[in-house]
Amino acid sequence: MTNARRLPSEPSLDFPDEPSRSRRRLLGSLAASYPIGMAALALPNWAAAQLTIEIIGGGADQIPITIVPFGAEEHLPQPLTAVISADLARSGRFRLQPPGSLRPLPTEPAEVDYKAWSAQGAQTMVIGRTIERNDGKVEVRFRLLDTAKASQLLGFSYTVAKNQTRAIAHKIADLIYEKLTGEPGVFSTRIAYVARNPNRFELHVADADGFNSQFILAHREPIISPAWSPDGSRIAYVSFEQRKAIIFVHDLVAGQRRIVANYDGSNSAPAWSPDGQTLGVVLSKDGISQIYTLRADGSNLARITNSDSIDTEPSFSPDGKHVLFTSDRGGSPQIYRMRTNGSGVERITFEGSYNVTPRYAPDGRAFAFIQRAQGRYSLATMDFSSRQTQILTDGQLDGSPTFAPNGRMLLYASIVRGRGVLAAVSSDGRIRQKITASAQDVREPAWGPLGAGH
Amino acid sequence: MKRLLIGIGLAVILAGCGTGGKKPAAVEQKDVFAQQQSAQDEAARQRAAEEEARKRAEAERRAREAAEQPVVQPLPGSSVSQGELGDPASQLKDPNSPLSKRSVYYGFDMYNVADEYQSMIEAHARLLRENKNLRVRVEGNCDDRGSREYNLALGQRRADAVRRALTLLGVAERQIESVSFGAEKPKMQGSNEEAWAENRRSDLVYVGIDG
Repeated sequence: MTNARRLPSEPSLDFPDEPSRSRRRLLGSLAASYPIGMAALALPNWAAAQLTIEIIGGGADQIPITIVPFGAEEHLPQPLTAVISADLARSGRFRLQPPGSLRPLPTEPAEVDYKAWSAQGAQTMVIGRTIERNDGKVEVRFRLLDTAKASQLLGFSYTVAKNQTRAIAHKIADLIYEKLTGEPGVFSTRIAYVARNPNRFELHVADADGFNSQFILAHREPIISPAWSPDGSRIAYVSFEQRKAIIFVHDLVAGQRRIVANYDGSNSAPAWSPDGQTLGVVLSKDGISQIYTLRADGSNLARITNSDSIDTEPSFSPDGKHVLFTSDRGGSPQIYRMRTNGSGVERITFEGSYNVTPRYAPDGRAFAFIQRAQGRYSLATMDFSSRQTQILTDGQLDGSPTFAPNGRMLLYASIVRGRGVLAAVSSDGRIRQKITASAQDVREPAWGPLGAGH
Repeated sequence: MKRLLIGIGLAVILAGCGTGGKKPAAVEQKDVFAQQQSAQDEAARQRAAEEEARKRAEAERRAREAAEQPVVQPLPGSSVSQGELGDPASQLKDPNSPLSKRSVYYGFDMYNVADEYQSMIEAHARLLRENKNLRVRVEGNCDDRGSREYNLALGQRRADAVRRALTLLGVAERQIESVSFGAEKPKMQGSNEEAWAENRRSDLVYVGIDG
C-alpha cells in the first residue's frame, strides 16, 4: 500500500489525500545499468542488467529543470533523485540542469533562496526529502517549485515500504511531466516483451524503464504478439507450446491463464477492444487467415472479415468503432480500415508494396505501421486527416510498433548486428532510445496502459 | 497426373491474384492508381529477382544435399522389400525414394506449390491414400523479414496450399493437419538470401514416424 497526500504550499493547510493505490510488486532479480546520454547525471550502475536504455538525439524546446538531490535518500535501497532524473531525461522533453554550487541544498520550501536559485538559472526546480519512520516505512516528500514566482507548483507526500521508493520516483516524475507538459507521463507504466535465450522463450513484464523485469511465461517454443488488456490486468498472447499457434489470456495478478482460441490451423494476432470485453483475433480455421471477434473468455466467436485473402493484425480504434488491419487482397499486403462489424472496408495505404502491422495512436488520429522501402522495413506513422506518411526509423528490419499510452513515444523491435533489440522513438521522430538486454535476443514489445498501477 | 498438378498450381496462383482487380478506394483515384502501378512494378521486379535467387538457392541446396548424401547401395533384390507395398516408415526413410523429400520451397511472399514439387507431392499422396492410418502435418514457414503475424498467415497459406494439393489427389482431409510457424522457427539462421530461401518452406512431417 502507498499512502499519498498533497503537501500544501503553507504547511498548515490540509489537502485531500490522493487516492491510495495498492501495488503488487513483481518479484525477480532487478537492477540494470543505466547509461544515459547526459554526463551530469550520476546514475546507479547495478549488476545483472536486464534492459538498458540509451538515448540517441534530443528534442527541441526542452524544458529546463533542476532536480536537487533529495535529502537523506542515501540510506534507501532505491534512491529517488536518479530515477526521477533518468525518467525526465529519457522523455527527451526536459533539459536537466545540475544543481550548481549553492549550499546547503534545500529539501523544504522554507530553505529555498529563490533569488539565488533564479540567478543561477534555475526556473523550475524539484526538491524533496525522505524520512524513515519507526514502522520501517519511509515518507517521501517532494515539491515542484517555480523560482521566478517563488511559488509551489506541486507538492506531495508518500509513505511507502522502503523497497518501493522506485515506484514513488516514477510517480513523482509522472506528476512533474504532466504539470509541465500538460500531458500524462508514462513513467509508472509497464511494458511486456519476449526474450529469447538459447532454447527458451520468455514473456517478460517490466517497468517502463526496463527495471523489475520478470518473466510470466517461459517455454522452449516461441511466444509472439503480447497485447495488454486496457486495464493492464491481463495480457493476451500467442504461444506455440502445442506446436501450433494458440491464443492465451494471462491474468497477471492471479498468475493464471486460459486458452481463448485453439481452432484448426493458426490462432493469432490478439487485439483488445477498448472496453476490454472483446478480442479481435485471426483464425485460419475456415480456409485462410481471417479476422474474428470473441469474448475474453473465448465465447461468442464471430467472423468479421469475409475475403479469400490474408486478413490479419487487427487494431481497434480508441473509440471502438473501427478496426485497422493488414490484408493482401489487393495483391500485396496493405493496411485497411473497417467498421468493427466488418462493414465499410477502405484501403488506407497505397505507397509501396508492403505496409503491415497497423497500430492506432491513443488519440485515434493517426496510426503507426511498418513500411518496406528499398528493402528496409521501417517504422512509419500516418495521420488520418492528411494521409501523409512519416518514416520514423531507418532500421533494416524494424517491426512490432507499440505506442506509449500518452502517444508521445513508440517502442518497437529492431535488429542490430543480427541480434533482436528494442528501441523507442518519439512520435515526431526526434528522440530515439536504444534498449538492449542481457538476453540473447528481445522482441515483440507491448506498452501497457496508463494508470494500471502494479 | 502431372497435368492435373499443373492445373492445381495454376489455380492456386490465380486464386491469389483473383482479388487483385478490386478497385481501390474512390478517393484520389488518379494518384492512387499511379502509386499502385509503380508499387506493383516494384513488387513484380522484386518477385522476379527473388524467384531467381530462390531457384539458385534451391539448386545449390540440392547440390549440397547430393554431396552430403550418404552413399547407400541397395543389395540386389533388396528393392523388392522396399517396393510400393513396403512398410511406410521404411519407404519414407529410403533416400532413393521420392518420399524422402519432404520440403516445398517458395519465392518471397509466394505460397503456390511450384511444378518441380509435383512428383514429390504425388508420391506422398499415393503413400497416404494407400495407408489410411498415416497422418501428416504440413508445417509452413517463412523467412524472418517483415511482420511476424503476416508471416504466420503466409506460412499457414503455404501449408494449406500443400494440404489442398494432397486432398485434390485423393488424400482424406482427416489425414492432414496444416500448421504455420511463420518466421518463428527458422531452420537456417542468418540474414542472407540463402537462409531466407531455406526458411521459406513447407515440411511434411509424418506423425509417429518423424516425431
